Amino acid sequence: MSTSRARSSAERVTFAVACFVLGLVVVLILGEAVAGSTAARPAAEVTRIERQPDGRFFVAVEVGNLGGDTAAEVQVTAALELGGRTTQADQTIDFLAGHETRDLVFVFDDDPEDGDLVVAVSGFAVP
Amino acid sequence: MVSDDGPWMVELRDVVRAVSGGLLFGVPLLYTMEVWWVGSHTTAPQMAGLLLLLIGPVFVLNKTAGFRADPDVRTRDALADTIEAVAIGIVVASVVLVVLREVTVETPRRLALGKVLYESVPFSLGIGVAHHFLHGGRSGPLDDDSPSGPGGASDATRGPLADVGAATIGAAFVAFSIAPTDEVPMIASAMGPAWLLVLLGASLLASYAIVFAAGFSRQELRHRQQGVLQRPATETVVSYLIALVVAAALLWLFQRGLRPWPSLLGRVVVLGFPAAIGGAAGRLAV
Repeated sequence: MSTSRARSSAERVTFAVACFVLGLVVVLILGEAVAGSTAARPAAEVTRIERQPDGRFFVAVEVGNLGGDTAAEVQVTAALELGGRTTQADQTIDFLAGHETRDLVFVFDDDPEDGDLVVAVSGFAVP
Repeated sequence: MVSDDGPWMVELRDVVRAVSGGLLFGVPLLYTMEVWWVGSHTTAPQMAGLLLLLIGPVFVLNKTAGFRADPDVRTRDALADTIEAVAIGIVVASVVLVVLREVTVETPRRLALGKVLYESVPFSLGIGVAHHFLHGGRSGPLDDDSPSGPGGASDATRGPLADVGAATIGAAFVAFSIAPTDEVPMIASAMGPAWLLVLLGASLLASYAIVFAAGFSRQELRHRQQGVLQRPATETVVSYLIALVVAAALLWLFQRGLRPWPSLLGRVVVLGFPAAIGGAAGRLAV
């Protein structure tokens, strides 16, 4: 004797929607597999410089990973050379996924427009 | 148990039960940044392997417990429910990650996929045991003969007190391990006022669904309970306020910065989400 029950039409609809969701996930995973991955390539660029009311200067920097793999512990360095003196600041981003961008702000006492400002990724780890 | 509800209502209740079970099981892992990071550097073969590995234990759970009121007897039904459980886990994890701003339109596809898949694991496992979660309890058969049973003379006073106590303990139990972490301020800092309101609404909805809509602990009896706080809407709102107070107290306890005020509000609402779910679980447990 069977104790099984027939699946109702409502259950069949839920099953169909579930199959669609899982199918979509499988297609996305396959898409990632076919696209392959490229090595992490983090890069930094200055997006704007703002003078603050207290006289300091905020340098907004966008750090983007142009590659497909994740970069870890991305070290970003900003160096301002002005009047023979170099002021340097560092920041670290824990994880930067492929094609992900993050915004950083560096703070300087002098106007970066008056000197030579170099912002660059100085290193990262491969997780 | 034979239900008088039509098949669509039964199915809706089963799905709400599945979502609730997933939330009860999965929310603590949502507030773990290491899981987000693991998801961020997951390759496509690893994602496929994770999905395949997840199906095994969820199938076993569906064969023995599951999220439906009627247990699965046939392997075929358990397999269908396994696909549904994993899919619901993925959808719920995605929605919560979006609400918490951990997945946005700017999130790269691989990063979002990795995060969602890793976070969906505890959700799917929770869905697999949803029907056995907190089954019985205060309103269960053993309590029906007691003087303080539902509708009893002293229920009007003891019920609300028990609920307040249970909501407080449940909220503290779940939120205690999350409050000292960096994830709370990290998530709060990414949420503007509009998203905080969305999270507030999601917290209330999850709390209501777990206690009054998922069919745990003989919810019909809970709907009929007497007392000043025992209307479903009132109990849900009061329990959420308790969850917020517990969240604020824990943030203070762990010195996670109660000032400035706008920042505190965000942190309290962010921690209030798992606290509200813990409070709902607590109310089911008494």
